[in-house]
Amino acid sequence: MSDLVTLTIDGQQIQTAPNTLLVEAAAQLGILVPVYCYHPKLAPIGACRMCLVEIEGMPKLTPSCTTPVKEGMVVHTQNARVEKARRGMLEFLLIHHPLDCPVCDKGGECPLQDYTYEFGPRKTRFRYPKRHWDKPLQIGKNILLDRERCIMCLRCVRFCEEISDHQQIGVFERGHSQCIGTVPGHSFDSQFSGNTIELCPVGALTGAPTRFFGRTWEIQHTPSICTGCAAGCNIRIDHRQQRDVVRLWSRENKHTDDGWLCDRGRFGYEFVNQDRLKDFKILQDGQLVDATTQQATVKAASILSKHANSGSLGVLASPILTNEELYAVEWLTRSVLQTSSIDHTASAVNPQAVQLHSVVREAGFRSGVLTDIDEAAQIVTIGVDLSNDQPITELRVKKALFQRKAQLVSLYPETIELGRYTEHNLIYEPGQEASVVASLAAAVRSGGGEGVVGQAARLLSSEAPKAVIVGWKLQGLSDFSALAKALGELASALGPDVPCITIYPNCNTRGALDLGITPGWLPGGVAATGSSESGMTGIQILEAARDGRLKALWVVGAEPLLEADPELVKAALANVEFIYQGWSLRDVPVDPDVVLANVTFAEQAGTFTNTDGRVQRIYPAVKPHGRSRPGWQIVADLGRALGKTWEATSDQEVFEQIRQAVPAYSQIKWSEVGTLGVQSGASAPPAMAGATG
Amino acid sequence: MAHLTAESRQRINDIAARYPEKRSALLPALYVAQEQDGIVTDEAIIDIAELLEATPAYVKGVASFYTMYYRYSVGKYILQVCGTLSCELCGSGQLVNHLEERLGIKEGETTPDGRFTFETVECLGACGGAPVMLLGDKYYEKLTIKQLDAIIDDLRFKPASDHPEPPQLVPFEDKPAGAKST
Ligand code: SF4
Ligand code: SF4
Ligand code: FES
Repeated sequence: MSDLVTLTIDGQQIQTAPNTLLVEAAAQLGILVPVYCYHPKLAPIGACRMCLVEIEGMPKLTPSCTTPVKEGMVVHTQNARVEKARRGMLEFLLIHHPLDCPVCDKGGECPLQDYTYEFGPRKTRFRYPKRHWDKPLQIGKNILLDRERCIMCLRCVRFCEEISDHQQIGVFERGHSQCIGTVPGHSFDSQFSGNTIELCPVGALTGAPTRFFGRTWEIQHTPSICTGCAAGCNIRIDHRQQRDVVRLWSRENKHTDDGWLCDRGRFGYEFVNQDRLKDFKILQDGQLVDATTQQATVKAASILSKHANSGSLGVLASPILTNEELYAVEWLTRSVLQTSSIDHTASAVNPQAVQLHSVVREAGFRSGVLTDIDEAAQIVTIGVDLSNDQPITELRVKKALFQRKAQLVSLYPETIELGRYTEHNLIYEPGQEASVVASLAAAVRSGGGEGVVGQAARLLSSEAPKAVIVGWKLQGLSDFSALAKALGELASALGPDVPCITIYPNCNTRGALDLGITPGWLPGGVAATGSSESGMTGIQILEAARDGRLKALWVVGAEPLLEADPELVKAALANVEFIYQGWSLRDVPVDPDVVLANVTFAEQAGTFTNTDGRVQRIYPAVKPHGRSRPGWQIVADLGRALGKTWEATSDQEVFEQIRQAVPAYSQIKWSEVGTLGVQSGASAPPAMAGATG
Repeated sequence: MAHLTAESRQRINDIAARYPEKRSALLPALYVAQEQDGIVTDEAIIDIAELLEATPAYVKGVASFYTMYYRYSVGKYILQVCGTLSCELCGSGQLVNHLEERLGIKEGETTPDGRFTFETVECLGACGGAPVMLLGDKYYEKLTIKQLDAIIDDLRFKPASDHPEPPQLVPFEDKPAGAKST
């Protein structure tokens, strides 16, 4: 017996799952039915009537976006009646449409243009004055609204209702005056607002920061990865002839972004276009002057060699560099310069907690991936506010809560955005993490208890599938071993095989950990032994530089500098021989002795490892600014100047070396990483063993 | 412009308590706001959103969808003449003409003293009594011009105490900027 439904569309038979919408069944046959309000991720509403089709036996045409398939249905999507209806609908939609395509950001990728060409009337019969609105209205920090162009498909409002639950825009008035709008004083500042620009099928919602970015047909697209946080959302970089980045667009990957982007990521590309370092530089008579690549490399190499082997060098490498760059920096630091003080962060991280993903595995959880959230009926977040720490993952949790009625238990020092959807908000004083987790574990084991903890425990003691999410803020705890123990108790109380997902702060923090950009840990998560065991942490490096215990600093990417006290950073950098490698001097408060011009992620090929260990590729979108180069090539030059040759001529070759060095990556086939990435394996050795301070 | 008074808030909370979901009380809550100010102000919309755990945009959407909530200045007395078929056949057109002449305003407008607004509405469901006019919650059936004059005279000379200052004009920024020709 088959569960499938058989029907006929345009003379072709198709078998499809029950409840499939007609418009989707047609798509499965490769038949295009024009739509505006229909969107696969939003509930159907049948607002625009663009998708009308004829079903035999039904007196009137039927919207195919709200009608599920039925056994034996005979559907026509291309006969004269349907075509007449389409023409009519388009004529209605165009009655008040301003037809300002020549100045509209959507022009060229606009379904209203496309369908009008394909199905629409050639001429208007409307002889009356068109309705006018003031435009554009800035309805939020990032969003402009042009009501004249709006076709009232309500995708934007439905997104804000169903997906983000930030209902800051609404449908106002009715009939001829119906429009989208906000209430004065309550603007559309949702951090997911940018998604409505993509959803809007016309140019009614456009991006304020990207207004007039160019004509869509002059724009090229390159697949890449967002560097805004560790989610690793897949993006498409839109650029003009490889010159500058004009906007970022989503590129759906169900493992990371689920098709959405947050505004921080979507609009956070200015650093690629602005304040860029175009040349290598050296400090001469107190002035930074342009130098040849050769001069700067030789000068940097001489500083490095002076302090190699002596414990007087510190290295900070940014967690938004690619794996290939980080691998090169690690190679030069440990293998060539015999230096063990290397870190990717200057915030206070407890060395025991650095490899958070290993810690939770040690505690008895399964290494979780973001998609585990999609399976869970109960979600526990510990020490993480996803709104801030990983916005896109918050949408994934909301999807679980809204669409599958999953339940949430939140452990955080305050009420978080997601706390609106649960009674189980376990709010604690910062520092009490371990005892809260331990008491929750104890309560789960005993099947309940008093107060909020008891209630949450009663919920969690059921059999329902669970997922736990822990945040990097826990890494700062000074008594981390108590928390690790409590996590172990929770893991055993929740039962076997509960996935735990670790949320890291930066787009490649996980990669930096896997590649040994942290004191005491070699690539592959191997605890360092012998001479490299006792490296300093980022914050210790800066303090030692300030106090004169370090003589030289090599900083690759400014991110770690932004995490420490600015006074400390200034004092530290001013007190040492300072090599800076990066794409901008904007966040570097002291003139370096040597400046090495590195490209950004938008100009190079490479890989990032996201929060749950997914290795994803980036591709060069724009040309390197000036003479800047990918970091691993700069490092290879430095190595050569120091007499060590490093054999790698392409990002793929570097990645092959990474595969050899990092067991978790050994199974990854370069050809399979493609544009959607591959999950790295779980193979790091125990976290607690051998961690040093 | 007016936020909700403590009394209105109390009334809204009492209504909300009757529903499993607070936002189900939205329509009656909007009436409470309208009773307070004569119109539903933006401030009241924001207050209601807070009381009913909805967002201002959602509340404004509902308030502006239904024509029985006024969002911009109306008179103290709103005369609603039915303009649908039965009443039209029985002479509502003459009532409308008379009102226009007597009050010196067009349909949908308010007299300068803020006392009267008159508008035509769709079927009031009392065709048996056509032509019909609704004033507040009172129906006037088989209405004649003479009776209409009497009603207006009566309201016109109501004592001042019963006739507070007309509500101020709310700039209705969301109305189309009028029909300019293209
Ligand atoms: S603004 Fe765009 S997405 Fe929103 S209703 Fe109008 S056309 Fe649809
Ligand atoms: S959630 Fe993170 S990775 Fe995704 S778009 Fe936002 S900043 Fe970028
Ligand atoms: S797409 Fe079906 S009604 Fe809009």
